[in-house]
Amino acid sequence: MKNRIGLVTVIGLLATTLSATVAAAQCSTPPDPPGLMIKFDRDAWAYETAYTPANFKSALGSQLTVVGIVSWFCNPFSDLNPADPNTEYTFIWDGLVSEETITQTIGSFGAMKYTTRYLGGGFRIYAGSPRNAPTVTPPDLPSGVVPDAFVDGTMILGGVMDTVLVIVNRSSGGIYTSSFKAHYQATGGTRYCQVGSARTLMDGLWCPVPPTSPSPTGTCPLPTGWSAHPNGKWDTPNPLPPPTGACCLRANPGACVITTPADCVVQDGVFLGLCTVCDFGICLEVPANKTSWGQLKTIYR
Amino acid sequence: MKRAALLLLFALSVIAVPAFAADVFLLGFAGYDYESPNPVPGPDDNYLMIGEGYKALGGVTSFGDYLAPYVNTTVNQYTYYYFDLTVQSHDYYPDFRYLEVGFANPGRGRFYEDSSTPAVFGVYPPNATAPSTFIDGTLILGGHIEFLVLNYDFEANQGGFTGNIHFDEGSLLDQIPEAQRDGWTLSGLAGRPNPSIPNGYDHQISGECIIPGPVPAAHRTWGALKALYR
Repeated sequence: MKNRIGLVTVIGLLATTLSATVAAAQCSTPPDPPGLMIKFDRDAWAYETAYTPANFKSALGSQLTVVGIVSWFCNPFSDLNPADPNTEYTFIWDGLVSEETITQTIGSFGAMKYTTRYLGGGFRIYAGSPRNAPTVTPPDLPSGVVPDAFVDGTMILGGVMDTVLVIVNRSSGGIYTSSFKAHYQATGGTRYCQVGSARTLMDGLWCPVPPTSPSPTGTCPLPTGWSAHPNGKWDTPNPLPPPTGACCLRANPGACVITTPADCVVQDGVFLGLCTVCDFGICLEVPANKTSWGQLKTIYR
Repeated sequence: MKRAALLLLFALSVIAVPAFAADVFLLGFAGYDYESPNPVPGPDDNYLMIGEGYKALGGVTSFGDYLAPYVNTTVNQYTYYYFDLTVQSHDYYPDFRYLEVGFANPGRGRFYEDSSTPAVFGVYPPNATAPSTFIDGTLILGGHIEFLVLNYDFEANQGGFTGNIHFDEGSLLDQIPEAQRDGWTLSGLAGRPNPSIPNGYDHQISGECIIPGPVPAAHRTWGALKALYR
């Protein structure tokens, strides 16, 4: 049995390594430093409880929520396929409370800057099946699938975000260039051990719904209730913690240690998988007694 | 007759084209930018002076419906390179530590497919691997960039760019309807500080290319419509 566990572990690690090699083609290549870890593109949208598109105004106390679908994974999640037909990787940011938008006029040629800080938020990324979150165009709000379709499944990573800073710039020519920036710290999830709790950057483009019609360049028309379309990323913590998991030691039956796959082999152990934990009894073998088929059948007669 | 006319009027009063038309997403990207040539190096008010060049390169992170059926991100690497962007206007507002830069028309943006050589940013571009490893392989799409504007807020260390791209070359050009090859919006974030930025690059950027949907229309009654002209 132990041999089988070992074989399965080796096959799993091999598969992880191979898929990582292929998927990493789109990610930073050594010797380049690690860049993005998770990217979202087309399918991400934001809404607030008190937001006025006409002047990009988020009222004091307005609560911001962002939902979306992951479009790309890099190290340490290169083994995850965002296009998997059976698994959808979705996310939510919530609990973000507005400090109110500050509007500034820059110079005398019509350039404007709208700055909003949102505090106290968190994020969660889920692996769910089937794929059920809306794509391309979100539904009008309120909707029965928002945020529910973005928060189903298993949470693979969750954490806190410090101030989310959203800046909407209007250039003197009337073109909008807008962005968001925050830092995150992971705190949980089934893949948490691969990320650790280092404070790391997350940022991206922020395309607000247009204040006027027709839409100025750099704004994104969205259905009723939505305030913006973000396109951004979580960066990879640098350095990453070593990948670890539970390891059952053959020399000490029942004993379990958290270590890397390589160290587990050195200790003559059986590695149970990345991010597995030493739950009580996980390394204990189920006791069995020798018996005959006849004796076994008599138990049920 | 009167009844038929009333019915027709009622039918017309509730007719409306869809109230919302989504932008069409072409692709998303992430990478780094740098100045080249950059005869006046330095921060803030020396960033992107008139006559200096702006370049950006990196990887394509997702494709929209037009191109998705024709790419294979499992075996190929998809990269981009934005170049020939020369600063034409430079307005720095020291009170806000805010910069607005306009670029001369046209610049150029190109997207490549490569199954062999991994793209490597290296340091202090242009270098032995950048942009060369980002522009090898097959040119799948390219176009001229116009009206590109870059804003940067040095107070928040955050900024972005937005411009138009008109596609006119590449092996996948035919997958974009001819009537929709002009007027795509190319936009992205440029931000720092960021420990992932290799030495010699300025910012990590993240963005997308979309084309605005058809002009949205709203539900109106004939009465409301007529009131606009009274």
